Amino acid sequence: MTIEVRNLVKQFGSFKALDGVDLKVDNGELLALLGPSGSGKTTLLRIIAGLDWPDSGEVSFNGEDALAQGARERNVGFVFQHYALFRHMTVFENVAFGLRVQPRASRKDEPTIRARVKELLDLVQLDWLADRYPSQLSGGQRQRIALARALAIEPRILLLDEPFGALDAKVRKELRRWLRSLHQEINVTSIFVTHDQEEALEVANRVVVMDKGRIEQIGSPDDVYESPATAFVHGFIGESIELPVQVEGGVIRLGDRPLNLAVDGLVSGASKLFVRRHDMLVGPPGSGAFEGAVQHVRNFGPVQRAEVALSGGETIEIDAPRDRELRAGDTIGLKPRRYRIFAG
Amino acid sequence: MTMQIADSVSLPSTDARARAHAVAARDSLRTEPPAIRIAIIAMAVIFLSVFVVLPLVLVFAQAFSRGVLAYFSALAEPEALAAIKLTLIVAAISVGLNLVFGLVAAWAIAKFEFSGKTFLITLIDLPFSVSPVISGLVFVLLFGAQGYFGSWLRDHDIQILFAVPGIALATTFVTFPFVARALIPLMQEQGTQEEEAAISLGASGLQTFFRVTLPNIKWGVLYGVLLCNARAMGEFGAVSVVSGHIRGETNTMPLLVEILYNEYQFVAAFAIASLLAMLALITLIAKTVLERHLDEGHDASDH
Amino acid sequence: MGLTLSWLSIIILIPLAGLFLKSLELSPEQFWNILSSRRTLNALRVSFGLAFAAACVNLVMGSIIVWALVRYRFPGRRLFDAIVDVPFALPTAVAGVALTALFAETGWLGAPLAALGIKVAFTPIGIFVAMIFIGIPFVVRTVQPVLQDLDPEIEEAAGSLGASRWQTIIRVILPSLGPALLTGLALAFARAVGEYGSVIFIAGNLPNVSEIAPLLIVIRLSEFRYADATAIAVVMLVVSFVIIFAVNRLQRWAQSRIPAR
Repeated sequence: MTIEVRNLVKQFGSFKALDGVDLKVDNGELLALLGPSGSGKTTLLRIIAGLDWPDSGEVSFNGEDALAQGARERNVGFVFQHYALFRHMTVFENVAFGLRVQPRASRKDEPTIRARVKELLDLVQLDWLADRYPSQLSGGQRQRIALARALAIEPRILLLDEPFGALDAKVRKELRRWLRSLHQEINVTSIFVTHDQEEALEVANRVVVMDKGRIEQIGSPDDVYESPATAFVHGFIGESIELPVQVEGGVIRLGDRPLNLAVDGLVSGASKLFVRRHDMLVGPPGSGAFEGAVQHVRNFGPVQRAEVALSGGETIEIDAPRDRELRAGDTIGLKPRRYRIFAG
Repeated sequence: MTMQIADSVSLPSTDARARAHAVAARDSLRTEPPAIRIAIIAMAVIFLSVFVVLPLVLVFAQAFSRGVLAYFSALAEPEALAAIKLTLIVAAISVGLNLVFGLVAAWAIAKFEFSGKTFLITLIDLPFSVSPVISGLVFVLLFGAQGYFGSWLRDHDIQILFAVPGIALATTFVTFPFVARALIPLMQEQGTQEEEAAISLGASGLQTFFRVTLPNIKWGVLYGVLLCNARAMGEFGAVSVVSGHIRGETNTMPLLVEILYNEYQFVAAFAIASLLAMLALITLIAKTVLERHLDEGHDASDH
Repeated sequence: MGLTLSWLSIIILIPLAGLFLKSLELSPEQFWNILSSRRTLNALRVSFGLAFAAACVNLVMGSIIVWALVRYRFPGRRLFDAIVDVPFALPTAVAGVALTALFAETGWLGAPLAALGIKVAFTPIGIFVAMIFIGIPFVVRTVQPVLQDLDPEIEEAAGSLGASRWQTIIRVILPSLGPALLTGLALAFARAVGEYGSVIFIAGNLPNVSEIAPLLIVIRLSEFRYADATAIAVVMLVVSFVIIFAVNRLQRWAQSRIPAR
């Protein structure tokens, strides 16, 4: 199943949740919608599911107009952030729900339904919980039951809204790996929404970074991390140092001080310089593009994180390898191994 | 507007019907078709109008059916004035008693753990679910001529039944749950941290109560008192059993309504009834206002 | 604490204990004879039977009212929401005379109904009507908060799994409201069984036909037949206890199904 979204606009009152979104999802993909809260990612997911409707724009599944169908005809599996399990039903009945409410003509007989539910509970490795009620399960178990319930209707698309948002860190990590292997097993076109970059980069084949109702970048996890397309993406993904600079005639200035860095591209005027923390190389004073005094040093395993007051007045944090110990009070030179400059 | 036009032009015409269908599908996910919606609203409104609004309107219509003059002269009858006075006295006594003990009961239940707590809560609720006639009956059994304390009371020349004390006791019994019930959830929610903080800062028990506990629950107290008062003034069944219906002496307003109605003095009966109905309406309005206050307090403690 | 308990004992326990003590003075045989007399049995039948029927009407109409108040927006919604409490706040004697005047053969509703050959006031139907009146707030106010707090996502989940609106209501929403609906039913029933003031005016009070149990207690008291009054009261009280107990259990059970977040 391919999904195509064209020029989607959705407004809630004066708030633009989606501001012209275009997106193509290929068959069998596991796609992450990544962005801060209010970026429109959940709205986009709900529109694809048929739980919300756009003000304008188009959504098609395999080239068919999906907006002509309501949620219950779209055959989309949706996993809610807070699971939305039916509390008065056992785990078994929760999973069976989608099969039991099918129109009489296409409804399967009881043994088939039982077999199918059993199969799904096996798939999510929770067959031993069939007779429990949702309130008797842990968060991670509820999440997996919600997934099994969504898969019961053999959905053409699987949509997950912050699937791990309500879980604690350890369970979250386990479930991430599990979701990826499950996706390989069932191979249904899947989209999940998250605000956690680590989650998006670790689980998805492709990541869509959104901000303020617009798509900032679409690419593989490596793409969005290694070559961010916009200032927002660079700032949002990975730990970045962000410095306000002036670009004039091929010279970059931080405050009054010209930086010994090359400018590629067409940027000029007030701009932003982005460097990953671990891409700042430490050298003797005068050797790099920046100079500064070390304020604080803390050690994190293989790296030391130093707070450096640049001579331009800015204070930045860098991650340096521990082969050369930094001390508070040291004056050092800094040279970015890689950097990017964005207008604005 | 321009967007809508552009939208419909760009749409292939075969999709138009499918989209119209989708509009219906979108609305149906969390609501019902308009016809059913209208039918449900109509049923609710008609039912409430017939069973609740109409009787209420009728009370005032009947009270004023012979004009304003007849209405006020009915209220100025000595019998009516005596009933109003007695009702106010009884309400004051029972509200006062239940205020004090409701506060204490709620405080004990909300702030302490002890065995038999569930039983205690059930006990507090009991007068709500006991027939008011039975509530009256128990006092007849205790203080009546054949009752457990009947002969002792007669020997000491103390009149409880068929007198103000009996009416006040029965009213206190049936209105007992209101204050406690209004306060228990409120005090449970607030927990004991603030009190513990006050005590750790050197406040005495009484200081803590008046400066920390009471300000936190003042709207709840008012709420409980309001409902308690409304029920106290309007109580009929229990009071009817213990009052003895002595005209001008042990008739409260609801009892007078009954007597006048049975004597076919409809204007007078409905005039008194209209006062009680007014009390009910004022109580409801005040209750709505108070609930808003309580909700605000609730929201504030959430954030 | 001691104060609370002693107060509770004085105001609630002692009177009730007195009632049971009094009933113990009766031999089982006497007790049985009182209860099995035709008039007592009929009064209990009228009270319990009509109270149950009225509670059922309240369950249905209360659900409809709650649905309209919570799910729809219509002019006067807040006013009608407030009006639901009127039967609770209006003194029962006032309700009694008002309903009687309304449904009497010359009344605003009684006259048109009489033209159709339906007599309401001074018949068992009148009792039924009064019991419906006083029971409305109990169902509405127990179910309303539960419907309000119902997670909208479970309806969306049901829809996205292919359930029709009707299936969602029957299989998801109603079962979620189940404990609240049953509680409301029980409370409305308990209130209607014991109701006196709003019923006696409209009832007609014909022994064996339209005489309610609380009225029979009052009549026996006025005849100084305390034993008879006590026996009937004990039966009603036991039923009240059972209902409260059941409601408390129901509430606890419903609580246990709410997932801890």
